[in-house]
Formats: sequence, C-alpha cells, structure tokens
Amino acid sequence: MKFFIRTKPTMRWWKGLLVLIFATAFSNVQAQPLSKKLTVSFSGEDLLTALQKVEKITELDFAFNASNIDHYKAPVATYTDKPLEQVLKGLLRQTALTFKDVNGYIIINKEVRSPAQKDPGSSTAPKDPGSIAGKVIAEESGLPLMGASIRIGNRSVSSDVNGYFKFRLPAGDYTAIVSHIGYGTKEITDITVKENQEFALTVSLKRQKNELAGVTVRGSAKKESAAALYTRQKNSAAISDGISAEQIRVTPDNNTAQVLKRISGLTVQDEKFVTVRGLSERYNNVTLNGASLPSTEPNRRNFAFDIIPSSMVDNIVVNKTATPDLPAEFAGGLIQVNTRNVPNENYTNITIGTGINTNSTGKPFYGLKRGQYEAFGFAGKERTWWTDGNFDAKAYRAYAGAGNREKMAEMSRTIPNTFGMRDYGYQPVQNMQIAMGRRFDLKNNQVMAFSLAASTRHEENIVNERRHYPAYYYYSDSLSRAYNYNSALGGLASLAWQSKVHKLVFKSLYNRRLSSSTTDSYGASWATRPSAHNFMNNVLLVNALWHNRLEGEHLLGKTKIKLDWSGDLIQLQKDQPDNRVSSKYELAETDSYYILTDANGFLSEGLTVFNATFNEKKKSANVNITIPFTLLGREHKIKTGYAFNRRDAFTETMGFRLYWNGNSPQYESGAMYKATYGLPDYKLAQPEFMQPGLLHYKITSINGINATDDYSGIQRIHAGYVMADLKLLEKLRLVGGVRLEENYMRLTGTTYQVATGNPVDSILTYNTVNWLPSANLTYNLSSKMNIRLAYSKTLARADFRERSTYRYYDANEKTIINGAFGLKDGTIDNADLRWEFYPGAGEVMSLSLFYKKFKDPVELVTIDNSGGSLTNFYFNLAGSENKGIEWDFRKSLGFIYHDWNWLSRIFISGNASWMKSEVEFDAAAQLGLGSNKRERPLLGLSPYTYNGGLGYFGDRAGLNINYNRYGRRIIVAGGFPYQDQYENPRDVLDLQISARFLKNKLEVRFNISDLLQQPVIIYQNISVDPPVANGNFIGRTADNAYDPNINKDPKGLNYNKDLDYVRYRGFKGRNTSLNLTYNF
Amino acid sequence: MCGTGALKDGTHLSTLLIIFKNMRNIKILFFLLMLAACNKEGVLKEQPDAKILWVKYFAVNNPATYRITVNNKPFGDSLLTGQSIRRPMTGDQMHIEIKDHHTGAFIRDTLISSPGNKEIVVSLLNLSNNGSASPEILIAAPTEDTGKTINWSFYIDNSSGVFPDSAEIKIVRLNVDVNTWDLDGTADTLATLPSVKPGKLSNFVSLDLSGDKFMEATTYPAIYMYQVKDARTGLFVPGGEIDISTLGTVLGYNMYEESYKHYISIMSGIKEPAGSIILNSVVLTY
Repeated sequence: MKFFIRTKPTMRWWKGLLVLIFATAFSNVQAQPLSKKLTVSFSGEDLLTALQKVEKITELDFAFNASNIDHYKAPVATYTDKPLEQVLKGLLRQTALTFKDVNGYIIINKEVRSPAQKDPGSSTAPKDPGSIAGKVIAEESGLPLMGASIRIGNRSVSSDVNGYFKFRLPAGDYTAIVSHIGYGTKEITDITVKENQEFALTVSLKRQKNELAGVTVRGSAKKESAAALYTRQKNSAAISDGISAEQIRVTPDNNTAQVLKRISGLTVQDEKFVTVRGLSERYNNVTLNGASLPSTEPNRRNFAFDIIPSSMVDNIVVNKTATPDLPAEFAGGLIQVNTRNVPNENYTNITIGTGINTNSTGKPFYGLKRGQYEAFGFAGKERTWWTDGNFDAKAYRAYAGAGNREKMAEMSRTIPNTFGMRDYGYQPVQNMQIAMGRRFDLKNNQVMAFSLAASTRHEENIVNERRHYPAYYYYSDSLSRAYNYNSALGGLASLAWQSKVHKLVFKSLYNRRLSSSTTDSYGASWATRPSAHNFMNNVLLVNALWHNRLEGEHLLGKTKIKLDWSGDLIQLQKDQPDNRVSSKYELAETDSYYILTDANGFLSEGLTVFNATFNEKKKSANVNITIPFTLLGREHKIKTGYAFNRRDAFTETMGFRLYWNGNSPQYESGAMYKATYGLPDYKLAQPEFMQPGLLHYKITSINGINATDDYSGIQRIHAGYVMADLKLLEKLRLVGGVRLEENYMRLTGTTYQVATGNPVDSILTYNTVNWLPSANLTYNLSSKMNIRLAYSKTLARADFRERSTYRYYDANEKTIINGAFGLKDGTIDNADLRWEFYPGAGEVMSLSLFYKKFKDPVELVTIDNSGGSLTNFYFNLAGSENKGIEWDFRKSLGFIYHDWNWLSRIFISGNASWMKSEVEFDAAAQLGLGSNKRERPLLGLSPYTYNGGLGYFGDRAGLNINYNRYGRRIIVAGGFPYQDQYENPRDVLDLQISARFLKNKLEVRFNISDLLQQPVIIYQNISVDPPVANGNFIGRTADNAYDPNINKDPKGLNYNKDLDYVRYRGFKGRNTSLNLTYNF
Repeated sequence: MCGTGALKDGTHLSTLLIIFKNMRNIKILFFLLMLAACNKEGVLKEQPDAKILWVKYFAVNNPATYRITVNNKPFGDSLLTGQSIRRPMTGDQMHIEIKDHHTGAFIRDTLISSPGNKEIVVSLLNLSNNGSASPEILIAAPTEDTGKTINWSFYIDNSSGVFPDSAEIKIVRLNVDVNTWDLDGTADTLATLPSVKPGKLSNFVSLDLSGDKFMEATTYPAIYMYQVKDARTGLFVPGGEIDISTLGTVLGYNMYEESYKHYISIMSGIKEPAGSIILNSVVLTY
C-alpha cells in the first residue's frame, strides 16, 4: 500500500520524509509558508488535483496519504492574493482533513480524534492540557532514534537526539503515528491524555530493508511501551538491570535509595547503602553521571544514595558485567546513576516528610554539645577548632617537644570543653525536598533546560547495644545506648542545551552530611582497672561533596559518528572533628573516675580528643567516539575512548588525651589528684584546670609505635579502550574489547617525632598497568529471550588509607586499624552465563551462573585476638574463588485473569543468589600461621542473598512489600577461623503504602521499614565464658586453632545463640515515615 | 532536629500542611523549616562531684566501737579508736550518724555541707574516761585559705609517768638547704605552749610555716621538732631535748596538706633503763 504520495510522482515517500526531516532541521531559515499569498481557482476537481495545483503555484512541498484524499472533491472557489492558510482552509473545510506547516513542509492529514475529543485549537479546549511524552528506540539495538516523526492529529514533532519527544494536548483519546526513515511505521492507539497528566509512551521501531513503502504496525500504547521497555533490557550490551525515568515516575519514591530497591539483584541496607549480588561495598562502584564518586562514608567504601532526589534521576543502570567503556573497578556491580539533563516537561515538586523510630520515640536523646547548625550538616566552631585550622598544631607539637608546659597549658585552655552529655530529647525525622525543572524549546529544535533540587534531611535514632570483649569489657544492653544524629543538606543543578546533533550539559551536585554518634555504654571492665565502667564515645563526622561536570555529545555530520566527552571536578572533605571519648570507672579511695595519669597516656584510656580531616580533589576527563558502520547488511559499532583521573588526597590527624601536666609526679600528683578527684569529665576539661601541675591536652596516639599521623596521596589513572559491538549473525551479538588502565599512586606518610615535633616523611609509589579484556556474547533465542555469555577482568584497587601506615583507633570496637604499605591491587576474573526472558512490560526472568576469581583481594584481617582488644590490618589474600548462581524475576500478575485489570498492576519480584567461596593466602609468610587455604567466604560476601517484593501500582494508590535477607558474612576476617567476625543474617521486611490526591498532584507515602526488627548480631564461632572477670574463649588450644567449629556447634558456622560468642548485639526498632509530595 | 522542632508539635504540623496546600510561598515553608531546625542547648546530664569522706576516730580511754552511716547508707560498721575509714562519696550534704557498733544505739550525728570535690575529714575525738560519752566531732571543712599556717594541739598521755604535771612545749623548725637537702644549721622557734597538762587536750597553737624555704621549693616540709620542759622548773623532761643527731623529738609534720589546718598529736613517753624516750604521733588532722 502506498502510504504517502507526492505530487511529483517520481519522488518516493521516504524521500519526502527525508525532506521533512531536513526541513525540520533548518526551519528557522525559511519564511512562514502558510502566509505565502497566491492566486488560484478551483472548479470542483478532485482534491488531489487541487492540492497539486496549489503546490505548483506555491513551490512548497506537500505530503499526505493518498487514501485519505481520494474521495474528496475541491469546492468551487477563487482566491486572489490570499494567504495559503486561507486557501487550504477553504479546500479542506468540508473534509475530515487538517493541514499543518512543519518547518515549511505542508502535511495534510486525517484528523484523528475520539468522539468526545475537543478540538485542541478551539476556544472550548481545556485550559490545563495534558501531554504525551516518551522515547523512540530502535527495536534491534534498544538505542534511541533521533528524528523520528510522531504525528497525532494535525500535529507532529520529531524525536530529539535522545529519542525523546513530547506533545501537549487537551484531554482525550488519541492515536499516534510514529515513523522514521529506514524504519517501519507504527500506529499506536489507546493513548489517553488526562488533564495535567503526562502519558508515557515509548515506541520501538523495527528497521525495514529495501521496502519502499513502510508497513504500518498497529498496537495499543500500553503494549507498545511494554515492548519498548524490554527491548531496551534485552538489547543492553552487558548483563545489566536498571530502571528508567518512566518507571521511576510511577513510583512514589522520593530518593534514589528507595528507587534502587526496585531493581532486582540489589539489596538496600540502612535505607541508603547498596550491595549487589551479596558482594560488599568494596566490590561495587558508583558513578553519578558517568563519574566515579568517592565514598560518602568514613572508613567505608560506600555511597549513601538517599542524598539524590528521585525526581532528578533520569535512569539507573546496574552493570553486573563489564564492558571496556566502563570504569574497571567493580566486581559485584557498577551502579550508574544519571540525573536528568533535559526534562521532558516543566516540573516543580516539593516534598515534606516526617517519621519516627519506634525504639527512640519519647526517650531522652543524648549527645555532646551541638553547634547551632548541626541540623543542616554544619558542625559548630566548638567542634571544628582543630579541623578549621584555628589551633596551631605545629606550634603545639613544638611546645610538646620542648616540654614547655606553660605554653601547652595556655593552648590547652583554648580547646573548647565539649564534654558532658546533654539531653536534647528525641526529635522525629524531618525532611524536605524541592525540585524543579524548566525546558525552553527554541528555534530549530533546540532546547535549553535547567533543573534544580535542594533537600535537607534530619533523623535520629537510638540503638540498644550490647558489647562483649572477653576478659576486657562487657556492656549490657539494658542501659547501653548509641544515639545517632544525622543531618544532610544537598543541592543539585544542571543546565543543558541541546540541538538535533549537539548536547552540552553542566551539572553541579553538592551534598553535605553530618553524623554524630554518641555511644553511652554501661558495664564492667576487667582491663586497666577492674570495676564498673561507663564508656562514652562521640564520633562526629562531617562530609561535604561537591561535584561539577561539563559534558557534551555530538553527532558528527551524516556519518552518525557520535562523540561524547566530559570533564569532572570533584571535591570531597571528610572531617572527623573533636571526637571525644570518656572512659569512666567506679570511684575508689585512691582512683578517681578517669585515668589522668598512667604509664603511657595513649588514646585507649581516660578522656581523649581525636581529630582528623580528609580532603580529596578529583579531576577527570573522558572522551569517547562511537563509529557505526554497516557490514553484511547489519549495523555494527566501534567505540573507543580515553579517560584520565587524578586524585589528590590529604589527611591530617591529631590525637589528644587530657593528661597530667607535671614534671615529677611525686611532687605534683598529690595536688593534681586532689584538685581533680571526683569531678565529671565536663568539669575536668574546664580551662582553669589547664595549668602546669594540673592538666593539659597531651598529644598522643593509640600506642607508642611510630605510626603515620598524616598522609597524602596522588593517584593518576590513564585509561584507554577499544570495543566493538558486532552483530555477528542476525541473532548473535558480540560486544567486546580491551581496556588499558595505568595507575600511578604516590603516598606520602608523615610522622611527627615526639622529641622535637618535627615531621618525618616516608614516600611510597605504586605503578601498575592492567590490560582488562571483556567480551559479552548475546544470542537471541527469540524476540523475548536471550542467552548471554560474558567474561571480563576487573579491578579492586587498594586505596590511600589502606596503604598508609596510619593507625586508627576505633574506640567502640576497642580495635586498632592499621594500614599496610605494599598492598597490591586486586584483580578479578568474572565469567557469567545468563538466560533471560522478557515476557512483558517491565517483566523479566533470568538465571545466571557466575564465577569470580579474585587475585590479591584486600581484606581487613585480625590476628591479635587475645580476648577482646583487636588489631586489624589490611591484607592481601593470595586469591579467592567464588562460584554462584543467581535467579531473578519480575512479573505482573495480569496473566492470571486478563479481564481483571488490577491484577496487571500487581508485580511480584524476586532475586536470589547463592555463592560458594574459598580463600587462599600465604599464611606462613604473611601471618605466621600454618595453613594456606580456608573454606570461607571472602570478606563481605554472603553465601546467599534473597530479595522479594510484592507491589501494587495503581493510579491512585500503591502498596509495596519488600523482603530481603543476606547470608552470614564476614565483616572482619581472622587468621584463625574462630576469629572471623560474622554478621548474622536478618530478615528485613519493609512496607510502603502510597496514595495520590488532589488530581494526582499530592502524593502521600507511608513507610514502615524493618517491620521484623531483628537485632544486628556480630558473632564468632567459638564459645565464651559469661562476662565475668577472667572470662575468655572456651576450648581454644594450639591444636584446634584451625578448627572452624571449635565449639562443636551443630549449626556449623551459622549463628547459635546457645553456643556462639556474640561480640555485638544492636537493636534499632522500626522506622516509620510519612512523606507528602506536591507536584505543581 | 532540635528541641522546639515544628514537626514534633501537631499544631505546627497542621500549619505547615495548610501552607503546603496553599502552595503560595515556598519561602515561608523554608522559613518554618529553619525554625524547626533551630538548635537548643540541651539539658546537661549533671553528675554530682564526688569527694573522699574520711572519718577518723581517736579515743584515749574509751573502748567504744562505732557504726557510721552517711545519708542513711552504711559507711563503716566497726570503727575502732586509731582507725579511719576513707571512702568516695557524692552529694552536697552529708548526714553522718554515729551509732554503737554492738547495740546500734544512736550516739550523735551531724550534717555537713559538702559541695565540690574537696576531701571531707571528720574526726571523732573522745578523750573522756566515760565509756558512754559521745565523741567530739571535729570537721575540716573545705577552705579556700591557702595561707601556710596550721594549728597544733597536744594531748599528753602520761601513763608512763614521764611527764610532769605541767609541761612547756616549744616547737622548732630546723631549716634544710634547698640544694643539698641537708640541715643548714639554722633553726626557727615557731611557738611555745607554756603549760600543757597531761590528760587534757591543749589549746591549739598557730604555726606559721611561711618561712619554710625548703617546703616552698620542694613541697616537702623542713624538719619540725619539739622540746619538752617542766613548766614549773624549766628543766628538760628526760628525753625532751632536741637531739640533732637522732632527731628523736620530731613533731610528725611531714607533708604539707593544704586542706588540713588542724593537727592533734598524742605525746607519750617510754621509760627505759638508759633514760626516757618521748614520742609524738599525729592522731587526727582536719
């Protein structure tokens, strides 16, 4: 069937389309065609003849469907020097045809409208139109199609460089016709536009070969969007999962962490941290708009996803296997979060929310003295006296070296006294988020857009904690509490310009987080002074992340070669200011509450103040070029690129202990003792006590070993890659290539001599080159089914902190954490075999087998576990082998009974993975132990992970239940099996109820997380005496040191409450929250 | 977020909601949030200062054993003469009750104001021959007086028969060289008690220690000694002479204690074939 005809019969319809697109591209250089005046007469001839006459006179191009015109006659009329618009109105008055000027090209079309539909141009049209927006993609590749024509009624638009299009239309039912040169045409019915609502439509077009006239495929909008969705999934280059803006839009989620819960294979912990396939944070990587992000957490390599509002997110893709164009540092997953560049429509929304923690409500909430703006993420000056540089650390070190007690006392008096627990009362969660986006459609299909978002969040919770360090300390959870106070402030802005072939985007993200955790533990000590013990530890952390990015995307000429580039500047500051520890014992006749004099004066006793500041600047530049080509009738691509990253990091630390300031204890200790006896910490730290002969803040560390105080590092990574995306056969696709990464790291450690206060530097350099091949082979078993085979080599690099000899003291854990110079970068060989089936919209079913072989992975290992006090250090294992199977599904229940529409809105999803793992290390050489191989999981790797979800997504209301559980996993590995610290599995059940009101403008969301509120338990597979003096591990001998089950536990390595030693038990309660979002 | 957080208060929340519904002014919403986020000082979890309560007991002829309670809590069950109990206590007031150890019968009590962390010394002194007599309670209250003056009182126990009916006691300081820590050959007389009667507590005599250069330099006192004469004859009581070679008649003032301003010592004698020896022991300080 001939769809379009031209008045010039020699021109093919597709040439017309070409003209249409061309004309669209350069419309701004043409005059307004409809105002062109002409003189013409009609005498009742066929409409086709009449139009040809007009076309000839005006020398304009007309396009229309012959079948629509054949049966109409032209009226008898004469027009003298009249505008074309008036002439055409007259010609078409008695027909069901409309006309439209599309960039100088006159389209005559059959008006498509429902009986109830109002004329969009009439005065009775509703004032608040709705819209249709979506994307056109190629069915074969899933890639966006630029320049596709989307016609609805007498209106038409072209898709942009990302395949996006948008109409604003009055409410009504519509049919859209979507076409593209070289692709087929689709007629999409059942499009229902409602006032103030956007109808999402994603269309896939199939490439047509050697067909002059396209075949129109018809289908409903719902089915078409579904098809497009799984087209993208099944055509991804690598094994991945993800969620698109269209999917995010229908959820009530308001931050990215909530969105991530909906992606299969991901486990979201603490409402913000993500693990992939049960692999811990070390083996996941996060990119925001393509740039790798530093960790937002101290001493963890993790990113808090709750800082990014969901309304800013365009899509999230989680890659489980690598391709050469991706950063190489991941093994579990690469989580790529992309924020919106150009919004499809203007939007403004505001969210306000509150919530409570059931274990905290109505209870006193303690903490140290707060700064005025801590609720917004800014610590007060009383806490930042060291990190803001107001305290002259260099001078103090010099005074200490010279033994100048007067000067030390004088400077000690300037250190604010922030000791003393204060009750602020528990406050509910308070959060607020504002997001807006504006789009300005310019001439020539150019678009300018900006997006802004700001958010603030504050939450508090109380955790009941029990800690047991055999023979050292025991704190009961009947009284011991951790008071966690967290505030976040964030802002995100983007400015974008886009034309048909170019795109430039500037994005800026600022995030600030303050977390203050105050542990107030009560129990017994059998270590330094056997007595009742009250241990207070306030850890204050302030992180500020600022990420600026400029990126561009260009289509070069007619070659369709795509060039994209980006430059990033990331600045991260992680401060740990004024951390205070107060170790209080029972009063005795000769011993006061706190140890202010002892043989060593280290950080592990008495009243201490620890400060640290970490600054990192990261600059990166990337350029990629994608060259498409056709070979053997199939489309292929070659992509190559270069990336440069430079990190400059600098860490400074300084520890103090409130300590006796005297020369000879036999003379002065009596006076000091009498002056200070029986006083609480907040009185002892008063400036008047800072006197020679009384007290001062002594510079100290965790022990006398000359460890690094400060360290700085430079890291440069040059990366280049070549990859090919080859359609080897019609159903066989190979995406593969190689990535080369050269990593240079220089680490400078600074140790201050106690005697002089002078710094001594030590410099270490590392230089590695890694060739990282990868290949992803995809075979289409059917249009809905793939089988994939993938191999990739990836990295898990050691970081500055891990390679520095800096010794950090974790006062809560009574543990020293040592860096280790000489750590090698870990490499991982990943192999995946996956069968995947996409039965319907947003539905997926897959089964994967995966194998991961780690070489030189870095673990945190402890060997010094003589009863409670630990020394942990980073350590290269020789290797680790992990084999696993993963099952994944997401399915609508609509198949049960098609007539019940509500069933199709219920989705059930699940993901399960099982892994078998063993590690190998050179024990004799590295740890002085006797065994080189152990059957235990890699640090942080769960032997199994289960995620399940059941959700109803209605127009007005939604309900979502999520369950997850991951198997016991090692959080600190031991040299001996009994030293492995395991985190016990928890069943976590979250419930979310949502509803929309006020014409869907108001969204209300109610969450209950952790309904089952199971405790967090850290245990070891060994029995222990009750917490009494001299209590210790039971049954440990030299002979059974390598027995993984010393206590003959019938549950093996699983937690057994009757037999296993519990190092930590924490009870958090449930969190409930209520959020209101209003969309303007 | 902080104490007067708007969201904690239902009224404030509803106000927010109304504004929210009106959607007129985001600034107002921000302003309210800022108010909600205002900080408050928090209520300091105060901990009482602790101090040592030191109850000392000395009786000459009284065999009574005491049971002591402080603020109705047991402090010491059986306090014998010559003994003391030293224990940390908290509280700005201490109600001390003295009861008979055997019968639990109330003997006497006292209420002491004890703010701060300074050590409290309570001395129970019973010089009566009457077994049921209640002891005198001597309390060293915390003082801000940092002057180096102390008060000394003697009680002569003449059960040995060495002492006359009235004795003159002179207190002398033998000065010590700060550098060599040896006696520098000079001496200062600090006080003289002209008539101290055995079996009776003498008046307190003030001793000005400010001239003690050695103590000023080292915190250790120089050497404080006494000599004893018969008040009537002016002759030395046998054994009552200062003998530099043996330093036999040392006063017993060995450590400067800022908080103790009163010293009570028992002077006693021992008759030996070669002559008498006179000893002086500090039994109570407060």
